[in-house]
Parts: sequence; C-alpha cells; structure tokens
Amino acid sequence: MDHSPKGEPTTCNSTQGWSPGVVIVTSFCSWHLGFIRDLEEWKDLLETLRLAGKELLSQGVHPVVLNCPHRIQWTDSNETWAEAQLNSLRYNRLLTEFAQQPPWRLLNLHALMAACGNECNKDRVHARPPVYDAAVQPDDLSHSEDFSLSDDTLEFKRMADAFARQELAPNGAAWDAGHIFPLDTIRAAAGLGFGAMYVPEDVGGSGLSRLDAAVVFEELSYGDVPVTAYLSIHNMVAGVIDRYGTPQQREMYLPRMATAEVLASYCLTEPGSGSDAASLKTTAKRDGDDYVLTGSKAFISGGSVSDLYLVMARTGAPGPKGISAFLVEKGAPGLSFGKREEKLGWNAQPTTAVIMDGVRVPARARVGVEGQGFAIAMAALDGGRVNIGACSLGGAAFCLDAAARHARERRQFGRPLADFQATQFRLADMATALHASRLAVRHAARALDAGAPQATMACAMAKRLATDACYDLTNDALQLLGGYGYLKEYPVERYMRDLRVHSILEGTNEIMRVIISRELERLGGV
Amino acid sequence: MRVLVAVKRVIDYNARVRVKPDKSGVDLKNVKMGMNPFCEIAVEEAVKLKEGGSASEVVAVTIGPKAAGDTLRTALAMGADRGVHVLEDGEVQPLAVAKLLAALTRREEATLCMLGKQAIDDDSNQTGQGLAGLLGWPQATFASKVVVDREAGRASVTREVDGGLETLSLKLPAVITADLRLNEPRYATLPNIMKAKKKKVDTVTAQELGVDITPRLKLVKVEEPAKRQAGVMLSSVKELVDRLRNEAKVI
Repeated sequence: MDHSPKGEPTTCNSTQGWSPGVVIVTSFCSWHLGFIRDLEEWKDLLETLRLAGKELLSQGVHPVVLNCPHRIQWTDSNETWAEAQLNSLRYNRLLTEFAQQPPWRLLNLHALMAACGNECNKDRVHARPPVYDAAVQPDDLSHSEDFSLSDDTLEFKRMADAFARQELAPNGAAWDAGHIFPLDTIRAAAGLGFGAMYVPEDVGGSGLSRLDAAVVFEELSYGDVPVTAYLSIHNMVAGVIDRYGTPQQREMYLPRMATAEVLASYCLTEPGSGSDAASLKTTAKRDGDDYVLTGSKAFISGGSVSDLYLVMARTGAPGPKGISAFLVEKGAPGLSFGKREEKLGWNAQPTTAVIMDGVRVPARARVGVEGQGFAIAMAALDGGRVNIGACSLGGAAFCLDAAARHARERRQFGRPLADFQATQFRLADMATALHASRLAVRHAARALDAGAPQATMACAMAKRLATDACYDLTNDALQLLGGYGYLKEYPVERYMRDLRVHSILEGTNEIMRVIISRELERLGGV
Repeated sequence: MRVLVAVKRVIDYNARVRVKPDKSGVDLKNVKMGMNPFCEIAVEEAVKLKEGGSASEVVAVTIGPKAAGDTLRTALAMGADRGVHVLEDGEVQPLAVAKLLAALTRREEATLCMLGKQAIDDDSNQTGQGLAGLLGWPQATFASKVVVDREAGRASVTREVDGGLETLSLKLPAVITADLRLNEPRYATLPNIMKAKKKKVDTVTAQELGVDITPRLKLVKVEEPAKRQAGVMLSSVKELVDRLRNEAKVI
C-alpha cells in the first residue's frame, strides 16, 4: 500500500513490543500523495484503507500507518501557503482519528526515521530531477580560496553558512513569490552579529574586518540574495555612521542598528540623476538650527520599511562639493514613500521612491561637515561594491552547485550530462569565473582593510568583474538545467533574476569602468 | 557542578559520502566536516544547564587530529567555558574514546558527562554507555528532556521510547547522551566566536593520560549500500497479500 510513485520501502527496527506477525508500513508522507486534492478525497482514501486494513488483519497482517507530517500544497490545487498549513493540520487530525481505531496503528515516520538516523527525504519521491536544495546539500565547489583565510574568518564562514542553509535557503522561494520582507529573519541575523559587522564593539558592532564581512555576505547570499543584499546596505550605512558620524550619532543609532531594531537605507540616486550622481537635485536649506530637505530619491532599497535614511542633499553650489549627508528618520513630517516598484528580482525587499517635502531635520542630523556628503557617499560605495560583489558570489556558488549536481544526476543519451565534454567544459569555465570573482572581491576587501591607495580601483574592478561574471554563471547554470532551469520550481532562475540587478546598482558596471580608468590615471598605471 | 561535554568532528551530515575505491573506509579528502549534530545538542544542553544555574562550568572535550580543534572552537563559541583537546592522529575506537573521557572526567572532577547519543560517521552508539560503565556511574541515553536538581544531586531524564515517554531519575554523577529532540542548538554569534579564541584549550595526548588506545576491532571493508529498486503499484489488497505470501514469503 505504498503510495509513493517508486514505492520505496522504509525499513525500521523499532517494532519491538508489537504482536508477532508482519507489519505493513504505509507511508503517508504527503509528498507521496500528489493525487489527493482535498479533504473529501483524503477521507475516501482513509475509508478504503480502513477496509483494506480489516482484510489485512484477517490475513494475519498488522497494518501500521506511518505518517510523515510533511505536507505541501498539492501541485494542482489553488490553496495558499497559509491554507496549506491549516489543511496539513486537518489532514493529520483526520489521520490520527482514523488510526485510533483498529485495525490500524499510527507511527510518526519522522520519529521512526530519526531513531534509525535517517531523515525524510522529500527528493526521493520526485519523478522530476531533484531540486538542488541548499538547505540539505553541502556545496562542494565554493571553497576555492579557504586556505588563505584565518581560523577566525573560517569560523565566521561556517556559522554564516549554517544560518544561510537553515534559515534563509528554505524560505527564499516563498519570500520571492510573496514579495515578503522577512523582518524576523533579519533581526535573527542581527542577533548573531550580522547587523553591524564592521562597526566596533563599543557600540554593539561585531568588530570584523571588511574581508570577514565579504566572506560572511558570500555565505549568506548562498541561501538568499536579496535579504543578504539588504543586510549589506544596512551594514554600509552603519559603517558610514561609525566612520563619519558624531559620537552622539554613533551612540544614538549604532547599538540599535546592530540589533536591527533600527534598519537603514542609503539614498543617493534620484529620478534625474543615476550614474551622474553629483548632479542630484534634492536640496537641504539651512533654516536656523535646522535643515529643510526637499526632493525625491529613486530606487531606494528598503524604502518604507527602513527606519533611517542616509540622504545626500545639496547644501551648496552645483557639483559634488555642494552635497551634504543627512540622517532622516522614518515618521518625519513631510517624508513619504512611492509605490513598491515591481521588479525582475530582489523581491524580498521593497524598493520605493523616498519623497521629501520640506522635511525638517536638526543640524545635528548632518553626517560630516557641509560639502562632505558626496565624498562620504562615494567612500561608502567602495565598501558597498565589495559587499554586493560578495552577494553575487554566493548566488553564483549556489547555481554552480545546483548545475553540477544536475549534471551528475540527469541522464540523457544513456549517460549522465556530466559525462559529456560540453558539460565538463562549461562547468570548468563557470568554476573558474567564480574563483576569479572571489579572488577579486576578497582582494578588494583586503585593500579596504589595509587602507591601500588602490582600494577604490580594486573595489570597482571587483564589482565589475564579479557581478557580471556571476550573473553569466547563473545564466549558464540555467542553460545546463534545460527546461527545468526555466521553471520556478527550480531555484536557479530566481538566483539569476536576483543577480541581474547587481550589474546596475552601487554604480553601474559602466560607471565602474569610468572609475577604473580614472583611478588608473591617478595612480599612474597599474 | 562541572559538566564535561564531548564533541566529535565528523563528516558533515549533508555531505555526499564516497567510499574509497579500495573499500578501506570513507573518503574524507575535500569533504566538508563539522561537529556531530548530536554533540551540538549535547553542548547546547550543557550550556543551558550553566545558564540555568545548574552547572558552574562547561568543559568541552574533543579527541582527534589538529583539525578537530575547529570543532572545539565551535563548542567554545556556543558557550562552553574551556576546552580539552586530546591530540590523536590515528583511529580511536569507541572503547578508547570512553577510556579517554573517563580519564578526563576524573581529572576534571566533572559531575555530569553530556554526550551525543551517537556519532553520525560510525554510528557506534557505544561511547556514552562505555563511559558510564568505566566510571561506574548511572547512565541515561537518548535523552529528550533533562532536568537537573542540583540540591538533591539528581537528574530527571525523559527518553522517547516506542510506547511513549520514559522518565528516569538518576543520582549524580551521571552520564547522559542526547537525542535529536532534546533541544535546538543555537548558532554561535560573531562576537562569541571571537571571544572563543581567548578561552583556554588544554592539549593532551592519550599517553599523557595513561590510556591505551590501541584499536581492538579490525575494519574488514566498507561498501556502498545496494542501489534501491523501484517499487510497484498493486491494484488490490488481495494482490498485495498474495504477493507477500507467495513471492516475498513473509506471511
């Protein structure tokens, strides 16, 4: 009576204490029951089983229901996730009632399997190729540079990896589909020290290096790119307040930012000034002890959900020297947000316009001196570029692992895809691109840590290289998965959508080339 | 009350296990390693006992090569107070582990030994029991709940058995091994990972502890499990019973 398509037997030794005879193990893992569409059909099946059980008993067989509490939405039902959760309870209750009367006995499949050291393996019953699931698959291919990391960094990496696999990866698809901003998960991440990573301990930060942070962001983005990217922006703003803020600003915001009680966004881009950021139009007019901010910012990650906005606004003459930076708190009169933009990816965090209509902030909300804003914004972006590059690495590493596994398991023309040289060469190129990107990102992080004069160039190069190469890698992975790669059931397309924007934000990759050539000029060649 | 908690470095629970071509064991080269999940649960419980005031100190112990130090660091980052690393490069079988832990328990004057119920690499499920035997202490294995009454000097341990829950009351000192649902191990936080670096780790060898760890068992060969066969769908119970009786001959 095994209803799994392949009907694989579950063996277990925990049957002692039962009356002698044969035990039939009936698996009710819902993954095996794709053909049940509603409670009525479920009741019908239970009734059939009741009759079958009687017959079995009459033949000297003691029937046992092994129930697996896993249940997902039936593929062809319209129930929402929440309904599915509720229905799971209903299904399980019906099953429990059913099994309380002879001839059936009920056992929890998970408990039994755990007793045998096994776990319910949902993949086994898929007729389709298995979905690469970061929650249960270790990555074999994404440790190409571990030997050069310190023991500390490796320990941070291990912890971030565990968090990514257990807390982020299993939820990424739902967050993407439901456009859910997972505040609880972000707070949990902050609870582990991810909220203000390169801020010193005196204000609650974790006191890590940029390199440590880059390694952590890579691991986290393996589990989910947009949530990690949001965290990286939050960290970037925390870094600005730490470096340029007054002691009062540090005290006021950083301890709460470290715990993610206060979330922060970075506001530079405007509808009319993207790559030409120094032409921004938002103004901050001095009025006694206050500044009055007017203008609007576009494409702001975390707009409407963040509590604190680092806003670049013009206090002086046109050009970069006339710009200052301000901290604007959510709730300030005159501050409002545009609609949530519909996007290709990055759906787990809202992107909105941030509109300021005469927002009054005290002079002490200014970060740095008047006219320093653009320099602050650019310095922040150096680190931001390392972070976003690192977020690309993790997403690409996920896709490489998924593609490599698919190539091993998918058979065509009588052999695994991995046996074809075309596949081998593609995977080799993908792994090389990922490795090169990783080296560039970590090198740029090290340059920032060292305060090297080449840091700005290294950051721009790393961002340009890693974001483009990693996006291409996700596209290659999708191609390797063929039709399955295009399905939302398989996570690669989501990673591809999420990585696409990395070539655009934190300065487009065209602007990266401008910076690189300018820095080459400044440094007198390489 | 000092708690001694044993942690083992094993192949990651999700890693693809590959048997060496010569069948001499599992290939551990370039495989992700980590703390045995049941050991993580044991560490979590020990740290909880300390946080709850039942324990005064948690000492984490590992036995293995230099790389096992990573596992010890993880335990320290989770909240163990200090570590002991028994440095051994060769094979250490369950009986030898139990002997080493017994020697350390005596040296550290521990009142409670917390272990995972088994390690997921060899699945021996012997160490805790062996340790209790060697020390002459009571044991409670497969714990799903642990309550320590420090004043009474007793521990109450719940175990999941087939018929339901079994609760044992044991006199301390004792050995307890952790089952899957005892707790959910915490993540070490970034600041705690850094603090762990400053915690003390003693390194000793089996020889210094006066323990003979010569293997008593010989591994003959390790093989991949047989490939699973696909199942069949049957149309009726009659057919099922018929095939169980006449084909499988189990009825």
